[in-house]
Amino acid sequence: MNRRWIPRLLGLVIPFLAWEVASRTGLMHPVFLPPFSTVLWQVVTLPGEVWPDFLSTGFEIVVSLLLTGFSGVVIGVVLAQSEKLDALLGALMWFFYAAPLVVFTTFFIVTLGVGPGVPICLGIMSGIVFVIASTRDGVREVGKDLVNVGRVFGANPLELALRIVVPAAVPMIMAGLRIGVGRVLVGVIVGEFFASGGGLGYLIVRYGNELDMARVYAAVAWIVFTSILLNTGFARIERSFVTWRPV
Amino acid sequence: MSNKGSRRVGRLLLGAGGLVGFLALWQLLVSVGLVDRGLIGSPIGAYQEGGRLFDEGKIWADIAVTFRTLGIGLALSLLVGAPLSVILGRWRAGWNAVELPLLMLNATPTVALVIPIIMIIGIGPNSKVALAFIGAVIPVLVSGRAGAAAVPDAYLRAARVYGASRLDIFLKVVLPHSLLAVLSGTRLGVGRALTAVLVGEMYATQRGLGLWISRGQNGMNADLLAFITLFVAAAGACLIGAVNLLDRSFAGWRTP
Repeated sequence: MNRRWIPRLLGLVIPFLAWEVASRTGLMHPVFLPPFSTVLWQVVTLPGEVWPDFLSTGFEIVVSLLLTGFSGVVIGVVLAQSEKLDALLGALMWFFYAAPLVVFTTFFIVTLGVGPGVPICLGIMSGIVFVIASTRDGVREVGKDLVNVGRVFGANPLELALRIVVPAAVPMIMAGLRIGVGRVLVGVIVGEFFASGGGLGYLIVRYGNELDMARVYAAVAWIVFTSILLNTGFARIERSFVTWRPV
Repeated sequence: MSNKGSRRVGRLLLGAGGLVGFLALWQLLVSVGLVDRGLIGSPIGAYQEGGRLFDEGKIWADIAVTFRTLGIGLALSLLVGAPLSVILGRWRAGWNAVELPLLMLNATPTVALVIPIIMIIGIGPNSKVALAFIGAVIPVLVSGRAGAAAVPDAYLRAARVYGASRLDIFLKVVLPHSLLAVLSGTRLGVGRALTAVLVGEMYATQRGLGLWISRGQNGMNADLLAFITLFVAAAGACLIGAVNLLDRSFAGWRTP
């Protein structure tokens, strides 16, 4: 136990100490790389200073995730019904998955205007493919027996979808969301970068223009915290659903 | 086999049909007047604008700049990342030391580092090379390390029984086994690196495709913006597709 913690502690302390020393001695220009202690202080005080930006990033992430989850599940369920439809939309989906999403930034700015709409849309576009794909696979794996039992008891297609197919596919849907959540965050940050007038991504640009680098690093640190929180949170939620698998 | 093959061809044809259908629907909506052409352009207009750009030849240099930047960054990240990940996979204390900082960096969206890196290194191509490097090297390290750490004991013992030296084991057992993991790390890394380079170029540069993306906003016409969006998206998709294909062609190596 002890022997594992020593290198771990060193691995954390040495880089930050080196950062502090490099900046204090002027090895790195302190304007571009302020001392670690200064940055740490900004990390603590930043939420109090610019809480509206924290709120708007949080709002954008939540809306983006909800819409990603909802529309991803709907499209996934529809695609699972027909092999042909899936093939027809497959290449289009793959194109949007593999294309670097930043290229759509300008398109969204032109159509939606500057505001929270751009980060939300970019977030949805970045993450939705994973939810669609794993919902589709999850729904396909749902046992025929379950569906037949539902039919025997007189469920209509909508009831079948809502009460049997989607609940049975929930573990796969959660797996898709877990993979997508990191990309949703990237989409939101990129959107804020170029067009929002608020949020953590916007703060990075604004403080960068003001050459207030300590605050730039503080905003980056908060994005990292958010990312770690979202990733571990969704990993935990996904795990709690694995045991739920009904068949 | 041939049945499976013809089904694959059928899927591909339907997929191509879907892409064409998407463009046709877009063109139709614009032609009928349901969607404003001045806002989002049209596929035919985009095609004409694209033809004009390639005829004038200005865009070639920018394509070259972006892909050269990306290529250097990726090459560096493999050069550094691949050997380092194998070392970390076999050296417990070393991994313990870098695990937490590396996982923190892995959780960092590379785009969040665009401005600090450009501030420190400058707006020239070097800062974008650094961004591509950071974007790609971390998934390579994380994935390659896991691959090197997961070499089955049975392989190592078998190699030892046949009298392999430590160097032999490293070169002929551990390294090939990790190569697959490095490759799947690269697959993730290419996407991150490309996004980081483009965002970097959109934020501050004199050259590159990212510059064209942001130019679309500044009073240029919608057809040009549509062309650039589709073209860069397609270029990125081709690149990711190529890496996926490479990854799959090694899949036969993978031990179950």
